[in-house]
Amino acid sequence: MTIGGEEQANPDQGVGTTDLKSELRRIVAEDFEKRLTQSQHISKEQCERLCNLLEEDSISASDIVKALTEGEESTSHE
Amino acid sequence: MNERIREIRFSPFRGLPDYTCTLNGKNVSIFGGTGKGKSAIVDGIEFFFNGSLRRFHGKGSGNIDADAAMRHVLEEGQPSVEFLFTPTNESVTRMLGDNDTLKATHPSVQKYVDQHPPAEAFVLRRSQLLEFIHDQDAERYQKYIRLLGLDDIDAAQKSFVEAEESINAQHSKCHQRLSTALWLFGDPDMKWIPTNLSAVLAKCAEVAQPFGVDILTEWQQLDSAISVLDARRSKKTKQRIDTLNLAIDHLGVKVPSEIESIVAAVNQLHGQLSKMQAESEEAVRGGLIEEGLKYFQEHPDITECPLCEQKLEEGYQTVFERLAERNRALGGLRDLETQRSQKLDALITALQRLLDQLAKEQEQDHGIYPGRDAQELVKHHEALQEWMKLVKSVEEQKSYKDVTVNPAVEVVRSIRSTIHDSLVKERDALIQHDAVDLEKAVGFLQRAKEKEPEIRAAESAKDDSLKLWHAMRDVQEAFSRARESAVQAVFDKIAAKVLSYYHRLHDSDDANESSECTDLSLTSTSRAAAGGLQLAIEFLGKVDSCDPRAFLSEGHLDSLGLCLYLATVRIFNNSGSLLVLDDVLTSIDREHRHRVAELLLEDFSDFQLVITTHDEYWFDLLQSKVLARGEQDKWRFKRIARWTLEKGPESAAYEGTWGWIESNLVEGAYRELGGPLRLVLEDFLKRVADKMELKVRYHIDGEYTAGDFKFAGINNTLRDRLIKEAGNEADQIRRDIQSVFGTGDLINFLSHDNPGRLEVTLTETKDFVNGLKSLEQKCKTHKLIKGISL
Repeated sequence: MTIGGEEQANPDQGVGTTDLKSELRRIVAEDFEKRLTQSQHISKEQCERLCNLLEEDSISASDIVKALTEGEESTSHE
Repeated sequence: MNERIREIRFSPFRGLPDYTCTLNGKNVSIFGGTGKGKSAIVDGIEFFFNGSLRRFHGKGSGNIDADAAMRHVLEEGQPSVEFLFTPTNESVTRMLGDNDTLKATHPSVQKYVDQHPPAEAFVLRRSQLLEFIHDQDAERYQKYIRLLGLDDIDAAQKSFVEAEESINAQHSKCHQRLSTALWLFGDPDMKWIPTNLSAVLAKCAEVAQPFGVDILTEWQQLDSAISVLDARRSKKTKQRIDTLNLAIDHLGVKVPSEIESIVAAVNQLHGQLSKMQAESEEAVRGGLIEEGLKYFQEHPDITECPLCEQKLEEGYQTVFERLAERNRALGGLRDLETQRSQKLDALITALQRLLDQLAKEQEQDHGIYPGRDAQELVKHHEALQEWMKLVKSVEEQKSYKDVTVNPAVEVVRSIRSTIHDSLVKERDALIQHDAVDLEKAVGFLQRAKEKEPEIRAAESAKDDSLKLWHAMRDVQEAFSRARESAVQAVFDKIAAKVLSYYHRLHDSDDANESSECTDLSLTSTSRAAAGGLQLAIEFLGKVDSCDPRAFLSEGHLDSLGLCLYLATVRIFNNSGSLLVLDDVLTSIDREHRHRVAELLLEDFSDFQLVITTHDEYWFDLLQSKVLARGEQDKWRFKRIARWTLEKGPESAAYEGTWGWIESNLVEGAYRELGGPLRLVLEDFLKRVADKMELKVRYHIDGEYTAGDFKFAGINNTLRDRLIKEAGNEADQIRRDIQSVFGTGDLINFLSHDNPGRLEVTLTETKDFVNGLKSLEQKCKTHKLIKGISL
C-alpha cells in the first residue's frame, strides 16, 4: 500500500490533503471490496451494492442495512 | 503550485487599520516585540483561507463576539483581507461575512486557494505546539483526521458500527422470540427445552408412541396421531380437559420477569443523565445540538439559521463542523442516552408481549376464567395499556423522570398464577389415574399443533437474521480493517518523517548530545466507532513504547511537537503552498534553533514561509543562515518597530537591515540597534574572511562571532590588504578600521543583554556605522568581499 507520494520523483513532495483523501478512499474501497469477496456470507449483489455505497459522499447505517437486505435471498460467493 | 503571494492587504482587520505585507513571492520573516501586530497578520491569513478564526469559535471561546473581534476598534468598514498573487497579478479578497469558497478568475490562482487545506494544517501557533503531545489518543486521532480531511471515512466507520448494532439487536429479538415459543415445550423435571421445531416433533413422537402412534416423523402426521390418542380418551371429560389445557398453555406464558429490572436500570441511567445535565451546560443543549446537526445534514443548502432566521455569516461548512465537534464532545452523554433508549425499547417490547398475551387470553377465554378474576384482568389490562402510553411518552420526550412499575404488573402476574394453578387443579381432578400420561401426551400434541406455525415462522426469521448477522459482521470487519490499514499507512509515514526530523534536530557528533527519542510510532487504536491515535516513543533505546511525556525533557517535547507538525505539512501539503509559523521557537534553545533554521531552509524551500517572532536572536539567526546559503533573493526580513491603534504596525516598510539601522540611528532609538549592528558586522566579517581565506578558530557548530574574527586578526589583515590596494586612502582606511574594531565598548555593545550599551554614545555608534559602511564599500571596490550585503 502506498500513500503519500512515495512513487513521485521527489519522495518528499507533498501530496496535498485533497489528493490524499481521494487516494485513501480509493485504497479503502479496493481493500474493502477484496475483503468482501473473500466472505462466504456476502453475495455478489450485496458486495456490489456495498461497494457502490462507498462512492457516495456520506453513508448512513440505514443505507448499509438496506444494501445488505435489499433484493432476494443472499447467495454466497462460493 | 505556480502562484506565490505578492502582497497581503489588510483593511481594516483587527489591529491593522490599513496595512500591506509585501512578500513579492518570497518567504518573509517578521520580527517585532509583543503587541506589535504580528499575530494580527497571521490571523488575517487564517481568516482569508477559513473565513473565520478557529479560536473564536467552539470549545473555550466563551462569549467572544467573533464578528466584533475581526473589526478594528476605530476604523469603520467591513474587514477584509486581500491576497495578491504573482506571476498572474490577480487578487482574491475575503470580506467579513463572506463565507463562500474563495473564487479566482485565473485557474492557477483558483488552484492555489483550492489546494490549501484548512488553515490549521499550515498555520502553527505557539499555543498549538504541544497539542498533539498532550492530547488524549481520541483527541489526537480526531485532530489528525480533521487535519488530513478524512472525516468522511471516519463517519463511514461510525455508520458501519451502528449498522452492525442495529442488526445485532434485530438478531437478538428473533432469537428471543424463538426461545419463548420453544420454552412452552420444555420439561422442567428433565431440565430439557427443545432447541428447534424438529426437536418438538421428535418429542411428540416420543410421548405418543406408548399409545399406538408408531410413525410421527412429519408434521402432516400430527392430526392423525392426535386422533389415535383421542380415541382412547374419556368422552365425558375430554372436551373440558382440552379447554382447560388451552387456557393453561396461555397462562403458562408468564408475565415477563425482566420488567422490574429493566425499569430499575432505566431509572439508574436517568439519574446519571440528570446529574450530567446539571453539571454541564453543554450537556443540557445535547439534544438541541444533535437535532441541529441532523437538520444541517438534511439541508446542505441552507443559508439561514433555522431558529433565528439570521444569515449564517460563518457559512454552512463552519457551522456544520462546529456542531459536529460539539456533538462529538458529548460522547459520554450519547452513550448513556443510547443505553437508555435500548432499555426503554426492551421495556416496551416486554410490555407489548404481555398486552398481546392478555388480549389473546380474553379473546379465547370462553368463560373458563372465574368471573371476578376475568373482570380484574380486563381492568388491569387497561391499566397496563395506559402505562404503555406513559413509557412511550417518556421515551419520545427524552425526559429523565423516574419510571415507576405499574402495580397492575404484579396484580396480573398474581391473578394469572392463581388462575393457572386452579385450572391445573381442576384438570388434574378430571383425569383418571391411569389416563395421566395419555392426557399429557394429548396436551403436548395439541400444543404442538397450535404453536407449530409460530415456531416455524420464528425459526425462519432467526435463520434469516443469523445470515444477516454473519454478513454484517464480515462487512463491518472488512471496512474496519480496510480503513485501519489505510489510515495506519498514513500514520506510519508521518511517524517516520517525524523521527527523521527529530534526529536532525538532536543528533550530533558531539558525544554530549544524542536524541532522547530513539524510535517513534503513531498507532491507530480501535474503540468501536471512535478511533484513537497513540503516540509512543522509545527512550534512549532503553524503554520501549512509552508516552513521550513520561521521559522527554520539556525542550525535547517542544521540538517533538514541532517535528510532528512539520512532518505532517511536509508529507501532505502541496509543494508551493504556505507555511506559517507564528512565534513557535521561543522555548527551543539557541543551539537547536540553528538546526530548526537549517531544517526549514533545506526541507521547506519549495514552500512560501511566513515566520513571525519576537525573539531577535532567532530573527538574526535565520537571516544569517539565509545569507550563508546565498538565498537572500528568496527572503524578506521585516522589523516592526511600533504599533499604534491609529496606524497599526510601523516601519514594516524597511526592507533591509541597513535601511532599518539608518532609520533608527537617532537619539532615543539607537540603543536598540545592538542586534542589527551585530548582524551586519558578522555578515561583513564572514564574507571578508571567506574572500581573504582567513584562518579562524574552528567551531564545531559552524557559528562564528565578531570576536572570533578579531581574535584571528582580521582588522590587521584587512587594513594591510586595503592599503595595498588603495594606498592613497590609507589614512581613511586606518580611521575606518579604528571606528569598527578599536572601540571596545562597541564590541561589547554588540553583545545581547549587555547593560554596558547604555554608556555607548550616539556619536560612537554613528562612527561605527559609517566606518563599517566605508569598509564594505572599499572591499567591494577592491573585490575583497564575497556575496551580497544585507
